Amino acid sequence: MRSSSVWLWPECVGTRPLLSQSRPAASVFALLLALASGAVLLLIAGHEPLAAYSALLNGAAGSDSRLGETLMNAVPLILTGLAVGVAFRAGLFNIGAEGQLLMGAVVTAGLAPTLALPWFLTLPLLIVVGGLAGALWAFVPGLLKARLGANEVISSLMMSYIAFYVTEYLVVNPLKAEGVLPATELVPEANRLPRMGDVLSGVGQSLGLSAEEIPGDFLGRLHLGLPIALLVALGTSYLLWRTVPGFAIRILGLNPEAATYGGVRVGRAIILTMMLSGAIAGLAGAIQVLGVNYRMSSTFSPGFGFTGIAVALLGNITPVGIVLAAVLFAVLQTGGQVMQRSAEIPVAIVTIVQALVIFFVAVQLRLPRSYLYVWGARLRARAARWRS
Amino acid sequence: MTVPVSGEVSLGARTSGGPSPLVRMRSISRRFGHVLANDSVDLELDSGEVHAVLGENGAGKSTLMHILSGSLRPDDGIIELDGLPVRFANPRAAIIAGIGMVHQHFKLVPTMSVAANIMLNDEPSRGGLVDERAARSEVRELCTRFGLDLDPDARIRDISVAAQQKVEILKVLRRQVRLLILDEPTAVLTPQEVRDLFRFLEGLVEGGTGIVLITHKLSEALGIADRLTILRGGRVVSSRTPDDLTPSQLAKLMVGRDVLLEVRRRPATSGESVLAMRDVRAVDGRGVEALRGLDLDIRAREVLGVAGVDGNGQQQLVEILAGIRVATGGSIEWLGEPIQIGSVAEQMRRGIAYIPEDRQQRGLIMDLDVRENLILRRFRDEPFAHRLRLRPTAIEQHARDVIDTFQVRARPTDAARNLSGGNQQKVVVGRELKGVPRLLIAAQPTRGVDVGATQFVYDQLLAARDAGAAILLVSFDLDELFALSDRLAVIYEGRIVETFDPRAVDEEQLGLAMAGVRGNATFA
Amino acid sequence: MEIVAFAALLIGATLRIGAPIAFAALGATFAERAGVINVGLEGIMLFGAFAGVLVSYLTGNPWLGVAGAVVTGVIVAALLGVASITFGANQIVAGMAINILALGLTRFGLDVIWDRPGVSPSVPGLEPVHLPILSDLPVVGEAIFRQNGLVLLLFVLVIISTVVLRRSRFGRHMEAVGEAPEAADSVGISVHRTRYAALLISGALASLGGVALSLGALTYFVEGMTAGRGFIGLAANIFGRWTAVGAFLAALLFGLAGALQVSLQVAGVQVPSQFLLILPYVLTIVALAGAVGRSRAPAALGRPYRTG
Repeated sequence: MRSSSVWLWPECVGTRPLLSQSRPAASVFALLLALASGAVLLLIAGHEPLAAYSALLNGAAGSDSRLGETLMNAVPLILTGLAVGVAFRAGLFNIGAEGQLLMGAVVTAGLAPTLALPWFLTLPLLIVVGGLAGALWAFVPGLLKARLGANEVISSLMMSYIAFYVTEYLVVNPLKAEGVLPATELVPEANRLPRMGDVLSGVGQSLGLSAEEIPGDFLGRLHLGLPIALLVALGTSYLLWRTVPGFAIRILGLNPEAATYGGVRVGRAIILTMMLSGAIAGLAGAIQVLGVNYRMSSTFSPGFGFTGIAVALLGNITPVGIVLAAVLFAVLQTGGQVMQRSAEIPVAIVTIVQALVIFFVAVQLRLPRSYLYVWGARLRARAARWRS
Repeated sequence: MTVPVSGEVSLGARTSGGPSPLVRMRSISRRFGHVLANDSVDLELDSGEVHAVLGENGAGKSTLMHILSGSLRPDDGIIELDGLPVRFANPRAAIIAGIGMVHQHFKLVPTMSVAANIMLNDEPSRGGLVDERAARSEVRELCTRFGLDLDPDARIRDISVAAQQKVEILKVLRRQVRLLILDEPTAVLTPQEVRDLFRFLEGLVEGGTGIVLITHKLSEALGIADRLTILRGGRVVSSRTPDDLTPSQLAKLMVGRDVLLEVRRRPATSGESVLAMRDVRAVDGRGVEALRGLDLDIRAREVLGVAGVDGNGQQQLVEILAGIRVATGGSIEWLGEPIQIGSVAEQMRRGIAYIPEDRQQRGLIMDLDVRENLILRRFRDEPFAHRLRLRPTAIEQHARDVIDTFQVRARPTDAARNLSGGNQQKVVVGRELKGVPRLLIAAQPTRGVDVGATQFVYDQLLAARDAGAAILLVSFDLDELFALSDRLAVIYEGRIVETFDPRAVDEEQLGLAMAGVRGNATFA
Repeated sequence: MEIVAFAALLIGATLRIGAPIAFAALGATFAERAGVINVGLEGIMLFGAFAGVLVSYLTGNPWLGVAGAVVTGVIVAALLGVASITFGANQIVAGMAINILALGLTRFGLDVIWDRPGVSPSVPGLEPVHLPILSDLPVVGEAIFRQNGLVLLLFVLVIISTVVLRRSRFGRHMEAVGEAPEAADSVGISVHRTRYAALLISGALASLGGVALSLGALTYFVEGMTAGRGFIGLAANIFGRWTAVGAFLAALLFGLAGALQVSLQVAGVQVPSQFLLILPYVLTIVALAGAVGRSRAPAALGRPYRTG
């Protein structure tokens, strides 16, 4: 006799397979297949795939400043990937990371021009505030799911769209800076995230090195956000595997019934995990404002939140994988822009490759050999039945 | 050779004639992974008789009948229908051939009506649209023909479980089956409903239908069956008529060991009251009242067995004590003090251990390893965690201890998924019994567990009892209850109706109590 | 601007803006009733919009464009089906992949075929249809009965869908598959095949929505032109409680918000556009909060079905 469910636990949409498989091989294979498909498309369109891909790589890492640009673009992806990944671990689909990112960004962009405290106070404060904004934005879908079992995919997606319009309104009206641009006031220099080059030269100088020995222009526009993002990755890893709340998150995602039996309060865990996820996404927004754009506009995000989903999946929902996957996507993104300019290849091919990567990861393709084995076994079984 | 097409039956060459039984299963074997569920089983079924297939959990009865009804394919062996070998590609083919099965877990669509469910995939239609009127009248006609009473327009989720079963039965009967298989049909019925069902089955039998009854209930089998086949460990142990068969002989055949019925143990010297429940009420997952004023007492150093047909409130009782469900009324005293049960964690802190009835769903997390499963309940506490930080060395050590003490055949880093059922249960038991709890709730602790591990579990339970724990044993296995309990309570419709001394009661008395009958009166 | 004229303008705009959403919403209804969450509706819409414009460009006939869109929608849906039903990929992830793929491929197509960034050239679009008596009615005629053919097709499809979903054998099978796949399987209904069929239908409907946008409301393709209408369609289906008529009305309601924004602007009323534009999303969240408990989603929604 089946045990009846004690609470209204809505189905976690197929996350168990996602979580219980650790297949870096599938990710790599998916990437290769996607690149190959992209190559085919390029050929059809009359372009040279090899030239295209090498232009792409060159654009991504061909020089110091380009590499810096790539890594700089990886930062928001690392963070949104982590945000989505943490939620995945609890069995939750935080599709609304984009909205949480936007809210984090707008709050930071609104607050930053008004603060005049020393940098070691403002920067952490701004970043924390951005995270809080994201957390609050994720609270609503979390609450709906915990109390009513409402599907968080739809609710968080709706919140994303609301965030988009709300921030657009804010940027165009109350927070608008003077001038023509629909954007907020610039963040004053004192409150910006310093470039890595500046950080390194500052450190070098205090260590007594001369100006020539310090690579002041190291890695172009790359800012302090990268170490912060990596720290967050480390922190998430530590949280999930070495702490009590992390254990609770993991067992919740693997088996909610057993988690209840283990004493986890499911409703509370859902809300808190969504808020944590939102906080990381909000952090991503804040860091983008403080380190790259220095303001917020209506064209602020090229979909970091959505790409974060892809990053989380490609990275096998582990912090290490997510960092790697984020860098990969950043390579595609950054290199693609350069590729378009230099080799005149439509940058849309990058989007296509990204989509295919997600698709192939989702389908969990393995090496053809194992498929042949499975199909062979099925054929043999069917033949045996026919022979009867 | 013939080609099996989905929905059709393939027939082969005729074997030797002679008065053949309706169905003959020869040397049927079926394996699931490591488990040989059916081991060269032979079975003969006739029309116009009730044939009971008996066996414990895991004996292979369901598997065998699923093969016969077309849901599973055998790895080996032949099924003969009217002397001709047949092979069913799917359940539809079996039904066309005249064999239909009523499942234990109903396969009904809750949002659709009785008529819609009965007609599913066979709806009368006019031009692609369903002809509701024809469907309704056909259902009414079927009801009259078979003497059942159903409202064709009622939604499945609104009708009683017994009525749902009738819908399932009609689904099958409507196809003029010659052999009707019922899988544990009485598990969800009240005694009155069981009597109705058996009367109905007898009517069918008189009309020439053959009935196969899968059951683990001895008294029912002896009561209604014309023939019995007993399965044990995938093999046929006996196939005979019920004449001159006593329940304990039958039990022995099913179980194959006397040991089970006579677990040696020191008589209980029960101690102080651990738990006292008064007039406790609760609802189940569907909002129906499941506990209706339950009174219960458990003392230290005793095993209190709870017997009852599934669905009488055992589940809710266990859930309340575990902290998973909140009672809607009544009072609970713990160690003499009135308490409110707030959460699972709170109950754990009180020293209440819980072996859940479904280890794969509730008791373990299949994708985690043994170490992590062993701290599933206590991962917040010392020594496994310090404040919010987990302590891997302590966790590893604990795993090694449990593996050692409880002789689990696994390594600490093995995923729970890869362990055998018995070893999985050992992990659960080891987790709950390491350190003596105040109260241990054991729900179906040996379900699906092999003989050796079962013996082990019993030893552990009794050892815990002797060390001072109070044990609440909820089980559908009467023999288990008889073997282990110091006192045996019967739960019926959400109340404890009677408590027996297991050495002084026989199965019939117990069965009557479980059926809600005491002496000459029935319980309200 | 006087009230009656404003009302006519509003109704007309609602239908025009709501029609694409309504098609998508109908698509969502079919898919979700059978237990499939088609998050890829957005991408299929975009593919449909593009295909419609392309075929109309090549043939000069907008109705061939519509046909081309439907074919495209079915093919993409089939791809999604193979991934999620046969290979058991997570439906949401596969759907999102399709959405991003649509963005990329259509952008790529714009570049490769027309060598144009962002917008296609103008192509023959769907003309408003003139119905004998109805179109000449005073106010209503202009507003409701002078829409393009697809809008009229929409009305017809809503009626057909309602009949199919509630009264046809296929509709029954879909309901069984979406609520209790084991029950359906046990009587011989192929869960996989039914879900495929539902998915293909939803793909066709979504692509109709896309082409209603690119050839019906406009006469060209703009990159990313669906702008989330597919998701709004998903939301409308939920708001409309998983029925064809409900999804249709909900979609129109959501379209109303957009139409209000446009109409108010035309009428010279100053309202920040964002307030109205967030209305559909807010309403959906309200629906999610309230709808659960009264009318549930199909019980097996989103769960891949493994046959024994």
